[in-house]
Amino acid sequence: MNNKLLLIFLLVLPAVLIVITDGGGRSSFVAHADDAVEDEVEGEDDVTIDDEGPGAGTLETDAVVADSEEEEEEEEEKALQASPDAQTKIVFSKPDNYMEMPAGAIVKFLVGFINNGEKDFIVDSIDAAFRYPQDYSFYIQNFTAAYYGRLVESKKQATFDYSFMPSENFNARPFGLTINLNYRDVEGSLYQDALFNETISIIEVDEGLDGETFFLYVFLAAVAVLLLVAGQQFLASFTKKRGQRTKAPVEMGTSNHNDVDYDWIPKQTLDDMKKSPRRTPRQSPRQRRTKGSSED
Amino acid sequence: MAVEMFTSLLVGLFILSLASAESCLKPQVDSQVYSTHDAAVVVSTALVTEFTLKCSNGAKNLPLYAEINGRTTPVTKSEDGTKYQVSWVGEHKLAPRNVYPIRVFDSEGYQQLKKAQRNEENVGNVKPLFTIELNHPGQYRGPWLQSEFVAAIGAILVWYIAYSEKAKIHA
Amino acid sequence: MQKLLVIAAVLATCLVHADEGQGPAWLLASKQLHNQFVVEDKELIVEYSIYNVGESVAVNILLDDQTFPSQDFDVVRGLLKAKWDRIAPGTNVSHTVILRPKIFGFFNMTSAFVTYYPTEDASEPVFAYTSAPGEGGIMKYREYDRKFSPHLLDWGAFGMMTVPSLCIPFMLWYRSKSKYEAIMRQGKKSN
Repeated sequence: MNNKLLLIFLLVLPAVLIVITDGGGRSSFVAHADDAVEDEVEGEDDVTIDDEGPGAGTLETDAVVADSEEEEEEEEEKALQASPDAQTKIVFSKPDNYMEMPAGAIVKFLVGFINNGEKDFIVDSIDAAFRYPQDYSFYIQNFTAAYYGRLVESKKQATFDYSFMPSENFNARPFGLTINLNYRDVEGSLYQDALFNETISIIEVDEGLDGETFFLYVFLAAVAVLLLVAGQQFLASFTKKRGQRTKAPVEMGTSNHNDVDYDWIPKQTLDDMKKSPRRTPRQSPRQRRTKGSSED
Repeated sequence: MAVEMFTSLLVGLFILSLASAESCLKPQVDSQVYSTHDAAVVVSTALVTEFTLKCSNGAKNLPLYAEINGRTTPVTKSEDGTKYQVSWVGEHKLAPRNVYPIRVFDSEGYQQLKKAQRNEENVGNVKPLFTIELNHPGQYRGPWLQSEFVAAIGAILVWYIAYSEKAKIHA
Repeated sequence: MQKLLVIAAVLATCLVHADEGQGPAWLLASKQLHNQFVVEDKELIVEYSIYNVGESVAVNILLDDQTFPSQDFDVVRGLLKAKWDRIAPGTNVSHTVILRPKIFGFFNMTSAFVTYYPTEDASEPVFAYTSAPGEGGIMKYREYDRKFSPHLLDWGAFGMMTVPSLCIPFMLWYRSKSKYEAIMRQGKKSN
């Protein structure tokens, strides 16, 4: 009876869980495929990026920020537009050919901004991101935005520089690179200018012989030599076991009696010794002592 | 309309003639140089020279072009046109210890230089107006061995000597 | 003859006004530091690069950097106010100034500015800000020295101080050892 109850309970519980929704048609107890994938991908990127120098773009370390960005986009139904009074231009200073960027090297570019209008503009920030080339809404890597907060008065121009570094892991792949300039006018209206929205490819830079590969080869050579030496020792010890063991020398004591120097013994003792019966010097002091005591 | 065009043509020719007379005869150069010595604080090496130019024909405010360390660039002038500057910034390994000749050309020389570059002739054959020698003694990248490393090695050596002597006595 | 002259004049003016149909020049100027650390009393390399991304040649370009007051920064080499006659479209020029800070602490590096005429016969100059390296700190020389210098003097002093504690036992041992060895040699000789 109890077993049957348990079985029914086990069947019913998952069914109930799947059926319960949060009112929006999605089950609240179950993980959804799209949520998990996004979080997973962004978590993955957190690990791969390196920090480089002042002002270089680095990966956003918080997946929460990316989520809030997406929320913002959902709330504002229309995307920000560029202002007709502002003219912008982007030029890459490094590398010369921006369609092929080497992985692991800094990419630098300049953005020119002309204020043709009567009102002043305040340029807030530039942000850059790598996106999936087939689907531009999918972020692969989001570089840190650089904040300027520069006031550009009417009829004046300004230049901004920005640099970022594509990670070494992004080798030989095409990416959609988007660069946006965010600015506002004195009344507070926000504008965004898409400076760059094209697919570029990351190439691998072939450095040839550098420090790392050189030391790798040295290390391999050292390991090979070590193995040889170890092998040699092992073989040598093997042959030694079969060979003769040299005898440990045994201490015999003073064997030559004629060489002993009696100069240091006082005369009296020498006479005593000559008088008493000659004992062999081989006797140990303990035996001598006992003999002496036994004599007494 | 025709008169306007004619006068503009005349003016153009006159300016052209002026420009051709703007070459410096017997240039006298007074230069000061600078090159990066301490490579620990900076990430690139800079080679800079500032000079003043005196021409026997009194030409001033000339458009000059310089070739420095393989790069051809216009010469920067000071606001009043009396001082000139040529500079180069690049990676440390592109500026090893050497004497760098900075060749300065006037506009004619520059045209010849560009022609030589286009036809891929030897650029060194184009004669400059004058040359400034920049003596770069090299950058200090830090000591060969860290002093802490040397001190540690020394301490280990002293310990080793003492230990080996002690072992000899005990044996 | 007259006709020939007229034709020549027309051609010449056509050449002179050849770039009237094109857009104006547009200069992008960047100001960058080439330092890993900015340290008091050590060199600071500032590089200005000006790119002409417009279609005409820019004329009478003046770069002026007023963000390094002379009481705070020494100019080692280079001109903080520089001038160029022309920058052709699609080309760039670069200018470097070497400074030495006399102060330390927090420092905000703001933009220099460039004024230029966007065409040959423009009447009014255009004003452009360069890019700015932004906020940073200038290290005190003592801090930098403490972190990065080889401290040879300190190690030398340390060596001098350890010499007595090492030398005295060594001399004692060495004296007794040499005496012992002398006795051993004498003993061998006599035997």
